[in-house]
Amino acid sequence: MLLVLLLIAVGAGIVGALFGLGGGIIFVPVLTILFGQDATTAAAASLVGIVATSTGSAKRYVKKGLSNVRLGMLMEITTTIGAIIGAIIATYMENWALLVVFAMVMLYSGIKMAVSPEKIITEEEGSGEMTFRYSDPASGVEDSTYTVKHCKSGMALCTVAGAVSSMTGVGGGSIKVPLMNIYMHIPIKVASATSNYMIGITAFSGAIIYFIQGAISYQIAAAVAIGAYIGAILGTKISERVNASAIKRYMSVVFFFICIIMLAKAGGYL
Amino acid sequence: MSLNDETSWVLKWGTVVGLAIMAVGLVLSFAGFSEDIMAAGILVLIFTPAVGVVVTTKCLVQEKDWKWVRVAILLIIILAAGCVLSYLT
Repeated sequence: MLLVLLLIAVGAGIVGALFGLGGGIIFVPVLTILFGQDATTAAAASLVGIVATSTGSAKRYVKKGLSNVRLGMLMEITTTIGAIIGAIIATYMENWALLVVFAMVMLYSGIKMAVSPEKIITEEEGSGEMTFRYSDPASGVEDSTYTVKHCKSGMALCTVAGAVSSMTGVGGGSIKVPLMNIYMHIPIKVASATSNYMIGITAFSGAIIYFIQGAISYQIAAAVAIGAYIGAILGTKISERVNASAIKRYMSVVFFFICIIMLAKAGGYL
Repeated sequence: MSLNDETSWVLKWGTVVGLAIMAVGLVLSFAGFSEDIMAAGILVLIFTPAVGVVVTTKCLVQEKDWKWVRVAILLIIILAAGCVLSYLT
């Protein structure tokens, strides 16, 4: 039983590390539907798994400079504020309506990622502060630069992302990655690696509360975390071999899949 | 070590140590030992990203990169406030 869970967590870890999505989208339904856990136990174990996916992959992404730690911290500020606001107003909102909105965002992101080419802004006059360096050998990029655009409005949208994810319980990364890539013109590999770094911090604040409340089932959380960590290691290795345009194509498929799951949840089928 | 190296180092070892304690605890729990060992491992793991932020902040202070020090400290304050708020409610 725990071994099966561990193996599924490996798969979730791979997907999470590769796309910067964390894996909550997989952990929660698996734990509730396949393993019959209640929503709280599933959410608690999922958060521990997300931390393992995040730290397991971020250690490598950060070392290589693919995760932008500075930008991650900056955007994490508004994401956390959003999450707090979301937790407060969640009780006043119709969950199904939110899920439908979420599904539409995923559909839009998926289409956008599939059809429009990536727009990266390299060195620009007077943009020094938000210009960063990165290398992505798998995509043939060696020590190039990218300039983060729409920083302020991007941060504001992170508040919305944080609020939506704390209200629906899923999808911190799945909103942040397209936001960073499509709107802020951050290269996809950097966006997913930075999201990976960020979701660990977001999950920490959620997990610590569950821990204090004693809501974490230790055996389940341990199995999920160990599996997710193994998956994260594999995911980062795969990421280093796959080029950016392929990642974007696969990611759009993942977003369509998330869109379907969200609609199923909204309709009460999940 | 650079900011990225130090942050990465903390993330790596925090995760490895946490998971190792968890794995030992998981095996021992089947042999009838207390689950507290696993709990300790989980605690080490979930604190790792937060410790990462603290170490990053330390590196930024050493680099005298004050703009980003402010960002990092603001994040730490918000994270702490979030924890306190959700604990109270």
